[in-house]
Amino acid sequence: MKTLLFITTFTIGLTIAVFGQDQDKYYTKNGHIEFFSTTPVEDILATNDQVAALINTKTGEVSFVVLMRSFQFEKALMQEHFNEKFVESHKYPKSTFEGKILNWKPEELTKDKELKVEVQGDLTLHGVTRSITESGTIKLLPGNKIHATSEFIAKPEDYDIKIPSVVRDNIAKEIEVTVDVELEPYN
Amino acid sequence: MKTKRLILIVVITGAVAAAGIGYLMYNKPHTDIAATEPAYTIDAKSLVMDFNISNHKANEKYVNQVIQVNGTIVNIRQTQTSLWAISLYDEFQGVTCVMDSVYATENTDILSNLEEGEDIVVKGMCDGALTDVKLSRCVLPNKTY
Repeated sequence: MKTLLFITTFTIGLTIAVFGQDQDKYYTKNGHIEFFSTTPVEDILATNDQVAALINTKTGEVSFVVLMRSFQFEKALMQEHFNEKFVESHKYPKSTFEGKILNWKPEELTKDKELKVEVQGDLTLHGVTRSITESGTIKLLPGNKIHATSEFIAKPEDYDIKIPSVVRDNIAKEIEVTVDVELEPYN
Repeated sequence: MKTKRLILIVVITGAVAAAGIGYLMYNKPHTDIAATEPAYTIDAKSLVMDFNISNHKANEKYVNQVIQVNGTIVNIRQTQTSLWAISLYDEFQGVTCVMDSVYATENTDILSNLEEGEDIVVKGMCDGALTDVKLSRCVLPNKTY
């Protein structure tokens, strides 16, 4: 009898340990990140719809991974310059962000209420890792989905991205980055 | 006097030609995926294996190349930005193909009739791999309106 009780307790405990945490994890493989550069010479927009993102609503941990090659530009030449000259995709194929929502209170995440949050973490781009703190929003949607957004400024020079002088006037010193991801429960 | 005029003509012609070439290069179109012969034709599982064996080697081989991949649809959906995305072979460690927006607009009927479990052939630009291999600006070479 004791053995049976032990096995039952053990099994339930193990089940909670293995699956319990996952209920708090939300993911997407096709999140959206875009960046925009505006100068008097020209505006450049690049979009990426192959963003992998994971948010743990219990701990407030967030992580993003993108392939630089998945950024799509209107002009083929810009996409080529971006990959080959600026971010050097062959050397640094990925960009990542690993961070945490500051002062995260999971109980505040209730249906249809948009929470304004601050996220702090490490952004790695072009092989350079910088600690950043940016503001964003997070919202629980009907159907148990999570919608998270953030807009922030990134400076190419901070990530050791060198813009050749010949196109220096075409590319902004401050790039507007928009993150917009819709996540589903990670079974 | 004649020489000066000749030099002037040559210089102007040169400048116009340079500007023209510059303009054409600036507006150079993207690779026409549908019209491009694939650099590699491979099944989804083998492609995933290649990236698992050596991400570095697979990157050198496939990235920035038009490749044609056949596999079973495990998931087809529209992304939050209304792009069509098809996952082949495996949901997490398979091949995720984001369809070309122009192709998708012209072939909505074909895409909305695709079903999970169906075997298809997808052609697109390989971006590399995260947990899954990513293909962008994809078309279905065997299915066009």
